[in-house]
Amino acid sequence: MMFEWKVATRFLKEGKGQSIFILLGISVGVAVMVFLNTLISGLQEDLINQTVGNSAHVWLTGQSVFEQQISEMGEDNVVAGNADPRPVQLNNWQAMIEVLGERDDLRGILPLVEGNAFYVNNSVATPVIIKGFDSQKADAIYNITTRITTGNSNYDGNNLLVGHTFATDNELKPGDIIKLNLPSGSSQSFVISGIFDLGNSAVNSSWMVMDLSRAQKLLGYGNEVTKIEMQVKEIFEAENIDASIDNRLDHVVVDNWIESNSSLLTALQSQSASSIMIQVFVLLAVTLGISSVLAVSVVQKSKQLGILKAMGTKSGQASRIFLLQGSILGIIGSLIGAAFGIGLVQMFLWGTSLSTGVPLFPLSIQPQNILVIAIISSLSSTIAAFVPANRSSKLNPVEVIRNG
Amino acid sequence: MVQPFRQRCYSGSGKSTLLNILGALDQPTKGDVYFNDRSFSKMTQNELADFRNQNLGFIFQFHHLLPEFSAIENVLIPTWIKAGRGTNIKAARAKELLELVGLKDFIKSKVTNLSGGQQQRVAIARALINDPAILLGDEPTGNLDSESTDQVYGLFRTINETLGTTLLIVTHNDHIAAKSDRVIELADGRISRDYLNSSFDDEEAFLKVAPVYCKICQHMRVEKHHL
Repeated sequence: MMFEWKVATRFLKEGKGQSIFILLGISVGVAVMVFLNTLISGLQEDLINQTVGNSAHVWLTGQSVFEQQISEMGEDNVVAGNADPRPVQLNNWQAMIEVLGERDDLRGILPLVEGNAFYVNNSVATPVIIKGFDSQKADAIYNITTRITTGNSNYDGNNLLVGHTFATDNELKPGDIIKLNLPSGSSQSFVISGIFDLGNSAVNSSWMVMDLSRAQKLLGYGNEVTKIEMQVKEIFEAENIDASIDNRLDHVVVDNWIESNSSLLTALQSQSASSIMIQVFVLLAVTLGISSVLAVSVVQKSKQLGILKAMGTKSGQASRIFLLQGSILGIIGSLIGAAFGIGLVQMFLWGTSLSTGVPLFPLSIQPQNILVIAIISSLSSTIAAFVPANRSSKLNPVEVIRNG
Repeated sequence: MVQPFRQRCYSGSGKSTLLNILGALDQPTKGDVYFNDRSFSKMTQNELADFRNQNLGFIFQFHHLLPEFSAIENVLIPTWIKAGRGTNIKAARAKELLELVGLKDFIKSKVTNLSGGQQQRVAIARALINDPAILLGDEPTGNLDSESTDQVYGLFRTINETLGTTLLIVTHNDHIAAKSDRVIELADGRISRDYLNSSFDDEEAFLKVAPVYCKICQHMRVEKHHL
């Protein structure tokens, strides 16, 4: 056992009250950091999951004739005229699916046709969006099979699924027949086989989910699709994946959820920033606390240090005694604090689930975050000991001996 | 410094400063200290620390034990400093020394539970653990009653005779000075007298060294006659 270690641990053990007090301080600080960190990241994860968990993260559409003609901006460029609002079909989409299928950063790939229609009920026309899904692949993104509230999830042939809000507003139930009017003027009837709830009111009130081939025929796209939707494995990689797909494929427009949800992301970022700010200040308070307790301890132990120095303890060793005390307090305090913080998280989950049976939002303990917090706190405690350690090394044994 | 000697001084004459300088704790403003031809002024702080650890033993007026440690641990601390780790290899020697100073039954005791005289004796055992060439004492019995003082001085004699350790003791107690081999008297920072006591017999030493107002000396002289 190192000499400095032996003295440091003994000083801590003998100054029991003080050591327990400062340990408590560190533990509470670390616990707050762990809890706050888990809470904020759980909140954000929940929010992101609710927003984009069951929707496309990256999607590509065809370039319209209008978009294909866009040239470099120059002084004599004048743009005039109407653009075709009809979604453009993706040429050669099977080849694109193959290309996309080779990527390992994607989780689900769904080719689909999109189009607009009206549902007319009592002479009120409600605009709806027709979604033609490949039923084999749609669940990879929308998980629709498990989100049917009434009826069944079968949407082949003339069957279709409507949203929960749409069904309530128009007093529709599974088995009812609805008629959709297309912009082209034609109209066709479908049987509602099920009602879904995708957790988003815009989707629930406007989507008509039907089979891909039926939608292709209805909207006149033959064998082609208008859009390929994808979910990515790492949600925040969406922008990079977007760029790399854009590079790989010509004549397509690629979009991602980050671009289309920029305000949500700004909110999340400022939330993270404020969470980090709070953690930094907590850490600062803890560090200052350790520093001042150890500074007092140097004064208290100055007699012992003086005598140790008279007996041949070097200045470096004297300062290490206090650095060691700082790190011992930091490491033990961080460990207790981490456990305490995890306990707080469990209590939060338990407490918020009392009335409803499910927690307010799911929190998952993130071991890597807790590890980072514990390491940073331990390091800060050691750094906090530097000033007292320096004082200890400068202590002159003569003065201590003279003054008794 | 081959002979055991003591210096007797008056308050403010610079005895503690001299002892701190001789103990490599303080630097003289002028002059130098040599130990076996090594100059203190040419040694770094760390070298001086090692020097103190290996060649000197300190006994102070206040025992200066570490209250966080037990008696035997306090005695072992200089060996820990020497080895750089908390080793027990010299535990047997530490026990021997504690027995020598008469604390056989208090080896594991917390030093805060010991009496003043016992604490001072632990400090003496601690000063001896690294087999120092010189033992430096700054009023080592200043806080002890006369019985403990006698015990401690008896102990110093034994140490001097059995271990051959040189004892350099600062005191203004004449009765203690009279018991030493050599007396150097300081006044106002200068040596005023320097003589060998060993050439006198006890009676003569007392008369020569102890001034008439030293009541303990008178008392002891009577006791000695009875013996």
